[in-house]
This record gives sequence, C-alpha cells and structure tokens, in this order.
Amino acid sequence: MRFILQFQKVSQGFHNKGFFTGRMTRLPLLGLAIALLCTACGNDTSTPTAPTPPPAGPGTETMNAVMAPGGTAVRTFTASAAGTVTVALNGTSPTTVVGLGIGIPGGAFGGCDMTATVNTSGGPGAPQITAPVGAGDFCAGTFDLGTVASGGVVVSVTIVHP
Amino acid sequence: MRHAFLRPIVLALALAMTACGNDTSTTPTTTTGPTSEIFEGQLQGPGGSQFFSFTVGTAGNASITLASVTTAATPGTSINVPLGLGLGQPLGTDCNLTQQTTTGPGLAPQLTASNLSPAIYCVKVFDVGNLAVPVNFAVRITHT
Repeated sequence: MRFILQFQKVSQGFHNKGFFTGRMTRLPLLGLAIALLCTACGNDTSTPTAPTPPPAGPGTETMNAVMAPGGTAVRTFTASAAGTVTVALNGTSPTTVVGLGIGIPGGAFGGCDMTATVNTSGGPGAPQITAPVGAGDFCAGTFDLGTVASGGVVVSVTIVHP
Repeated sequence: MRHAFLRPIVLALALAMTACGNDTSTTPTTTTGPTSEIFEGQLQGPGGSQFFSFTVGTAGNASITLASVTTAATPGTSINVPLGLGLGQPLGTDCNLTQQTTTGPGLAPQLTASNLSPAIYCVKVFDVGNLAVPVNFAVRITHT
C-alpha cells in the first residue's frame, strides 16, 4: 500500500512537471513496476517439507480373495496403539474349512509368521480370533489345510484393529 | 531534471530488492524412530536354542515379542508351546542373558528393556523342556 501511495505521488509529481501528460503514458510505468515486483519475488517459500505419512489409526480391513490350492490369502495391517484385534472369516465359497490366522509379517508360509490360528469355514462364530496386540505391523489371513479344491475358494476376511 | 522519469523505475527496483529476502532454504528435519527386526529360526527339539544379535544405535528402549511358534510338520499352524525368551549381550559364542521369561507366542511384547545404551545385544529363544518336535519361531525386536 505504501508503495502504491509513493508511486502515485511520484507519478503525480511527474505529471505536474509535464513529463507525462496523459493517463496512458503512466500506465506502462505502473505495469513495469508491478512486473518487476512480480518477477523479482517468487519462491520465497523454499522451505522443503518432509512428506507426511498418512496417519495410522483404528480401522477395519476387509479382504475378499480367491485362495488357490496350497495357497494363502494374507493381508497386512498396522495397529496404531496397543489394543485388541479381531479376525473374522465371514465365509468361504464353496464352503471349505481353511486355516485362519494372525501374526507378524515375516518369511514364513504366506509371508506371515502365525501367532494364533484356527480351522474354520467361516460364518457363525465370527470373529474366530481375538488377540491383544502392541502397536506395530501385523498380518492376518487364510491358508489351505489341504482342503481347497482345484478351482480355489473364495474367502472373505474382516480385520478390526486399534 | 532530465532523468527524473527514471525515479519510479529506481523506486520499483528498490522495492523489489527489499521485498525479497529470506530466500534461505531449510533442510528438512529427519527423525528416526525405533526400528523393527524379525528373528526367525527353528528349534530342533529338546534343549534347542538360537540367538540373534542386533545393534542399538542410540540409547532407548527395546521390546521383544515371541510372535510365532509353529510346527515344522504343519507350516502355518500355530502351537501354543511356551519357550524361553531372553535378552542379553553376546559373550563368546553364546548370548549372555540379563533378563528372560518363559512365554507362549503373542502379539504384544513379552520382554521390554529401558534405557539400553548403544551396543550390541542379543535375543535368545530356547527350549525350557516343553519341546518334543522341531518348531519354527519368529521374534520381533523393536529397538532404537
């Protein structure tokens, strides 16, 4: 604002002195001044910021997958705090008894080192697994017990975690 | 003054120079949190043991979780066999335990240690007399 006032005052002074006698002649100067300001200033906020990871929090993870014979269907999740995790096998199609487990990501069968497992075909009684956990990364899912037919089995798993 | 028309340009330049400053860039601050390591192995049977060494880089806490015990015969299926779980420092060809517990697998830490100084530590998993068959195990170690 102060600049504009000063600039108007200076321009007015020129006008009075007869250097610039028309409105049209003052406009290019004003434009030049503004252009100088705009081009000289830019990128003043060059403070880089580290990317912010999405906040972890309580959640529900649902996995629907086709599990092949001898295979696994595992999903990883993060517990944001200590609490209780439930794992439910909602159902299998065709109805098949499979292994349902929870553990930590690792190099074991299916990439999940199982802590607790049950054999179930899902449905009534869900959640079949309830486990206290600390904060951290975990995994849960199903694995074949040798019961899955050649066409595979559709599994639906729901994980609720802190 | 013949050059008086230059004044607004000079004024604009001066304003531009004073308006711009503080172009200093700041390096983003990186904070390192605890790191997790997975120790997986197999106990061959009665009396079996294994240990795993890790380095604490900065003073802090550590937590150890015996997360998985499964039979080698049925991979993927957990068994609730209590094993010995200990924390110590390497000594010769063994792990000299400073604290230990007997626990089955779980997903919350069974052992914690506070204010560990930067050094090399070890976690040991061992049979306490319950093993009749080989088992696979997995331990998660979270430390600074």
